[in-house]
Amino acid sequence: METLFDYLTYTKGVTYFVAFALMVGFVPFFLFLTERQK
Amino acid sequence: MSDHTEHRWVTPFNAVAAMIMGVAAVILFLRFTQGLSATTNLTHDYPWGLWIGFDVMSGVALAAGGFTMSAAVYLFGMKEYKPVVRPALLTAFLGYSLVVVGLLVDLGRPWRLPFPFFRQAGPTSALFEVALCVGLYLNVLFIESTPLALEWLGFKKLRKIVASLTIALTVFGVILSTMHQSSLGALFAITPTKLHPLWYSEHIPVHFFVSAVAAGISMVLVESALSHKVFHHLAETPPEQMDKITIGLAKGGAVVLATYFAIKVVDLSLGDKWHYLGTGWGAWYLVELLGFVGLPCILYLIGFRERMPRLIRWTALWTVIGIMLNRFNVSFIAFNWQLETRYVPHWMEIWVSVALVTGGIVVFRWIASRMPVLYEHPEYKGMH
Repeated sequence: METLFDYLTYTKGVTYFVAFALMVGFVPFFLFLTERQK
Repeated sequence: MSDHTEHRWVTPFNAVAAMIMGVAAVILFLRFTQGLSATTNLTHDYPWGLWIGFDVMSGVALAAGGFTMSAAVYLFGMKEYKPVVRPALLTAFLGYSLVVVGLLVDLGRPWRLPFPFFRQAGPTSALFEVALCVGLYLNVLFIESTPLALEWLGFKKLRKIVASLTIALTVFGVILSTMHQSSLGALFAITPTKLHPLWYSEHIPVHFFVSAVAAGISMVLVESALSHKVFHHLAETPPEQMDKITIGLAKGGAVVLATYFAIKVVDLSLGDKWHYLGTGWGAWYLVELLGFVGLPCILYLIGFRERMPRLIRWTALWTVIGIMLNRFNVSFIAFNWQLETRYVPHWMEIWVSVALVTGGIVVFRWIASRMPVLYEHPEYKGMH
């Protein structure tokens, strides 16, 4: 069973990098989406 | 408005619908008298087939438009989407009703329907939660849909009582939907040895919930496009306003699909499943992830940015197919992936599923051509 602590200390793989890249990538995605909204 | 509409019984649509449902009635007679083996290709290895993957899993996901739209309008104050709330709630009510019928056909012994509430393995069972939430939510949707009939019948007092419950029902509906949409995914959380690792996840309840929101928004777009085409003489929302609503929903669709895409990619990394992508199953997974999540997300993005309602409606249909594909993958295509024997639905299973959808369309058509679904009743303008 995984706990919140397990997630906070999870370092295996590239998950942190992937999650960070996706979060950063969401910013231009949203800006591109809403650029012409007004 | 509906008084001026002529209702002819013998039409090509009714004839085809009657033929489909007539054959389905014979199949159902066989299913309930001869058992599952006479009408399905289900086995002990594949106890869940098309009737679960399509009628239940896809049906519940596609009916998510009801709680999504009612929450947007009644809880978040997005009043511009009001014209699509009633059709969305009616679609959800009919969708859930068909889910229950489909489930009964699959399970058999309909008299045991109340068993989950009185004789069950305990409240820790995911199936118990699904049964409880779906049962309660069906009642919530029924009450939320009654103003249509009450306005049509002229029961003003009763309609006023139901209208006063709108916020409470919407909140209850959101809670129940959040619980059972995710619990349907939780059913597969106990199958790590059977479901292919690319589709299996400890967080599959989250995947199911987020994808259901995308399915709900897309289904509202598909249903509103079809109903405004078929009932254009009844719909009072101008096409320009419908286009505005369509474009607005595309923004929601793009954001939800982007979120779903991100969750799926993070899950690939969390489970260290990258190496599976190089296999045949990986190619099939990428078809689903890139073709039916990534692509519609980009198409919604372009449709919203460039104000292209036609593109958005086709994208919505593509998304609906994609969510169905995901539910098929999880419930039987990528299930038991290590077995040599594969499950292919029997034609009778497909026929019954088609008949259920046909039944839903027939009832929707009957209600929408008589009751104030696509227009506001003159005596209750701006009151719901």
